[in-house]
Amino acid sequence: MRRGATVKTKTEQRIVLDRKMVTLHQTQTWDLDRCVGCQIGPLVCPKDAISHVPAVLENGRLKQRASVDIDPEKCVFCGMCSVMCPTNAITMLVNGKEEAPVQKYEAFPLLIESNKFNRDAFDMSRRDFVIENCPTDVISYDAKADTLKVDQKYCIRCRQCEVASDGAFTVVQPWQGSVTLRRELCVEGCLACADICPTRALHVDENGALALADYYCIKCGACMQVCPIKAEVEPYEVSFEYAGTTYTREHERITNLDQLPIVVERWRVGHTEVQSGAWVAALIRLADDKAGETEIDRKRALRRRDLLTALKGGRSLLDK
Amino acid sequence: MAKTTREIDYENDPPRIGVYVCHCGSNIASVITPSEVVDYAKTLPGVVVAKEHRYACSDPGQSMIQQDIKEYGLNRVVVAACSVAMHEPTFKACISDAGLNPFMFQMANIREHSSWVHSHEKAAATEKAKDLVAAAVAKVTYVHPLEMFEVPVTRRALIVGGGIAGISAALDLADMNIETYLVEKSPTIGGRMAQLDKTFPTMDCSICIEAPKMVDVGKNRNIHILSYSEVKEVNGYIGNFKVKVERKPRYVLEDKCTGCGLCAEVCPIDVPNIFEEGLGPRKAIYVPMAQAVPSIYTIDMDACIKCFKCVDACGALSAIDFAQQPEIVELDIGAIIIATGYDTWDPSEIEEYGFGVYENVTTMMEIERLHCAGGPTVGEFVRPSDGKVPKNLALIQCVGSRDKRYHEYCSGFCCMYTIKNAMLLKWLYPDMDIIIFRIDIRTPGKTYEEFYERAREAGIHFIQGRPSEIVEDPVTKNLVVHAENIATGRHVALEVEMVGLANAAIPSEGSFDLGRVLTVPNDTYGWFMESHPKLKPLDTPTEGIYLAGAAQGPKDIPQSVSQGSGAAGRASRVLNAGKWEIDPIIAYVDPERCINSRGGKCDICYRVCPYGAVINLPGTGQPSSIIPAKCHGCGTCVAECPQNAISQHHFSDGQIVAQLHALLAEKPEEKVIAFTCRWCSGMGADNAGTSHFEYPANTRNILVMCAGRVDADFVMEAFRLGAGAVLVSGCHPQDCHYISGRNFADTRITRLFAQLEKLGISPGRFRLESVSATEGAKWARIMREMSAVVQELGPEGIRAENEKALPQLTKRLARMREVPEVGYLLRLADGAALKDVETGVKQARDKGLGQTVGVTECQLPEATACDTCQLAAACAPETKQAKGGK
Repeated sequence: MRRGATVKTKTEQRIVLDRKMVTLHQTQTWDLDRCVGCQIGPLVCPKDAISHVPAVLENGRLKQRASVDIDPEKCVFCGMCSVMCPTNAITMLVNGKEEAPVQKYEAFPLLIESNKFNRDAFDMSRRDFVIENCPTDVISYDAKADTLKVDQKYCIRCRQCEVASDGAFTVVQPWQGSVTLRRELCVEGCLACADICPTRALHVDENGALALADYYCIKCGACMQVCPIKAEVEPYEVSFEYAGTTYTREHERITNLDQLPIVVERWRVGHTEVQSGAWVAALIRLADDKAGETEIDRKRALRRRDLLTALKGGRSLLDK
Repeated sequence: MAKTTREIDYENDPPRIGVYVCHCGSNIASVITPSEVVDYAKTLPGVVVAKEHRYACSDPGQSMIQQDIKEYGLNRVVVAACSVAMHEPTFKACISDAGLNPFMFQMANIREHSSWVHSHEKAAATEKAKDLVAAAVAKVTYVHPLEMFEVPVTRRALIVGGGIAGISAALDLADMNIETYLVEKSPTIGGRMAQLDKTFPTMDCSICIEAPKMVDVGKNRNIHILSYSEVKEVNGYIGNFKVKVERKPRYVLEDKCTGCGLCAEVCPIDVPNIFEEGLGPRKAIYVPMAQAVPSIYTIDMDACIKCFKCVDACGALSAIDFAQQPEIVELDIGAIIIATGYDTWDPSEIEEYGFGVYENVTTMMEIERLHCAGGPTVGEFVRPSDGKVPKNLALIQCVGSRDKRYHEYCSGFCCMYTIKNAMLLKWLYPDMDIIIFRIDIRTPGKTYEEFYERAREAGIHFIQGRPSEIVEDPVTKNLVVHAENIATGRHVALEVEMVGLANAAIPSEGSFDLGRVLTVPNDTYGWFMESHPKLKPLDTPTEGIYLAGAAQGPKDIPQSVSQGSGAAGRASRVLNAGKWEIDPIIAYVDPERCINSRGGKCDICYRVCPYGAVINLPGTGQPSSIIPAKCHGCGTCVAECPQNAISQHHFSDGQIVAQLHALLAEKPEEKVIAFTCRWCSGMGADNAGTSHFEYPANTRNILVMCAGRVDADFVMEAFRLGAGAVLVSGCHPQDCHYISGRNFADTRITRLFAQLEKLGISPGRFRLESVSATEGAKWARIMREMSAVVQELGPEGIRAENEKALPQLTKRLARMREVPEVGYLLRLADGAALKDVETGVKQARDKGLGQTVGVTECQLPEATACDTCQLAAACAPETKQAKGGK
């Protein structure tokens, strides 16, 4: 069977997976210029179709960005990676329309993230600075309405505009977590993470030294991937229960956290309510264990509530 | 149970052999002079009567033999005629009717191995016939009466493949009240027929006529459908197969799923549906089609992302179980029917047609799904590139079949289904221009030609010529088909909006693997081989396994249905019989010669036996022994035994050496001796005969059951006797009828290569080859090559080489001489009195030939013996008998 086979085309700029049947046409595009090789894609993929291509460093600077590669045999066009990609490098099209099937079928939540602009609170004299300052060039000036516009599709919610505009922009980031830089542990003269950081949270200060402005961090973790001091991981198993059956997943945990110069932790993510094993699995793999557990506990609580509600007189029990 | 006593009273009942030379009309007589062969036979020792007959297999021919048996008191019969595959059973039955033991018979194949392949060397062919007759006489002198094994039959059938052939067979068997298991690897039965839109020439809706049958199968109490399952292991033999079927996890509980489909509605994953030829999607949880039987969903774990939306949708039914594991079902089966059907070949290999590159180049099965009302487009025939109905369409025939680059065979049904699709589209879209590029149109079926005529009348164009290239217009995605119109001799460049390729039918995926599991040979393409192309088209060479439908070669629906019923009939012969007789040509151990009986620690026989038939107790002082019911009679252990302690009924060392001596009695240096296995190579040599592939007449065959039986001693003995060249030929290793016999032959013979080369035997004079049952041409080529080597060296050269090697060969063959039967024979030969058998056989008793070597009893205590045999009824009486009738 040749028809319906996935065709992969790879160039310097993008990887395109194309699967054309007569009644269905699925396309997935990885924009490698936007990709920072943050590892979220490989982590979230339920079919292990995405592999990480490590960065190439030279004298502490980035020579070639980290990236990904995709196995067309394994990809099932679920769209999870396109939802979770922190730099919006992945676009999934179904019959020409942008769509993530997992979201359409409520097997994956919508992330709660936004970037709103309050024209009234903005000093227009700072217009050019704010536009220039945006690391992803998604802010543009709409002369007709005399206002600033954000390309929501490609905005990575880094909050640079929020700071630059003195709060006229309000950004909600999906991920909460922490980022820690310990320069004393750095390889001397290495600035690779500043080269890869999509938000300029990691940057080179006036003295030529590495600096962190953690407010801008979107917790993508690309810096950890390029850091020459690699995280050492040990595998362990995570199990969770779904519909009466316990499922076990292989998971990895970092053992040398105290030796890493840069550590990004993802604690929790803002998302809409969804009942899905795929989402739980993704969370377990993306965030630290606690995030996954919280999610599962929350699920259990909700289900308990539903059950009680359904019971006769359950509502009153719940009210107590 | 077999009474395989080897006691022959040579003194009071010396060999009295009748030789019958068949003319086979003019098939033999036009090349070979039968009277010469008869006259020669009369001079052979032990021959009492020799006659010729126009058709030995005919009633008068058989009566003649039976009459002679009575008149001359014959106790052994040789028929020089055709292949053992053809008429050995006929003549065995014939002499059995006349009161002889059927094993006191030997056939010399002077048709496939002589007259049909040496038609240009009439004198040499006659000489060869004489030699073959002499070899048969030599062997038959030493054969012993054997009784057939009687084995119980499990009244249960297994059908592999749930297409229309398998369905027909299952329904027929079920009607005979036979419990039937129908194993299907996909989630639903129905097979290829379920994919078709309409059937030719009646234009019935395919699924509409098949679905009721599928439902019947699903509802029938005698039929158990094992869908989404594969046959993993088959042990045993006719009437007593032990089959392991793997039930792949479908992650849906068959007893709970109602087929409501709520799960598929919530599944987020779309993957191409193989059933729709990838034209449309299905979900990760799916049934391939609406009419599926059983109507149970299956989760494709390659696509599932484990979101468990389906679990929620299934709700209280709780039919989904992600923890399901593969399960092995063990079945006791009496007979097996192979109905695995065909696959369609991927025509993207033909680059000039651009399938897989040009979107609008489609296969015929895709066209089938595109105009099927149940298909992905709900019956709207559109072209893939833009989803519009094409105005014109070119259909190309013989894509990958009748093409020496891919498949030489004709796929058979493509002419008809191409015409059918053309007719159908003409009905649906009267304005569509349809052009069929053909080589020939083959319509050999009832009302098929009339159908073709109707198509011509309906305005479908036929152009004779195989297109050389298809070129796509990158803008319009239209296609230009280039071809030479043979009728006009002109180049045609035809622009069409869509092209359909009638791609070849190929054996279904995994046919070779299944062949290996069942030890049923496949031909070079993978189609299953029938036992005899004319007379046993539904039987495989393995008894108890039958063929139905396209597994054996491309077939249309009526043929598949009739074969399904036919195979059911063949299988029911066995299943309804209650018990069945099988050949007693098994191996047995001479306990006195087995080194283990003297405290040895040898386990060679145990290691080489692929059937676990050897009871091996090294170091206990107990000799090895063979469980008769488990032994399949390949003879590998016989050849491997370093002590020559194991022999094989009907293929003993003595019998084979006797054949060798007869064949090499005169001018040995000019002759090529070929040891062939009974299955692939033997049938391959026969195939050379039926195909009339000529090769030189200085070649002589010796048939054994398996290449594994060919002892290194036989090869050395052949060279000691001065043979020009020796060939050992078996199946291709993966096709070995006895699983691993060919591999052991390989190891043994490869070792021998080096040894013989060291002794000065030129490399080309000794070869090991694999010839399958269809490779007659290869057989002829090998024979020609080996003859050329013999000719090149010349008799002088060969004699010189042999003489140089002689002392070493004699030394190495010392051990073989210790086998009583062989030792006697060799002593006779050394005394230059080979032909003096009649006195010789009298001496044989004293020399050990006549010594009783009963079938080896189980050496284990009686109670456990039959557990080991696993076949109480077959083994126990024998054990008891051997122990004195306890």
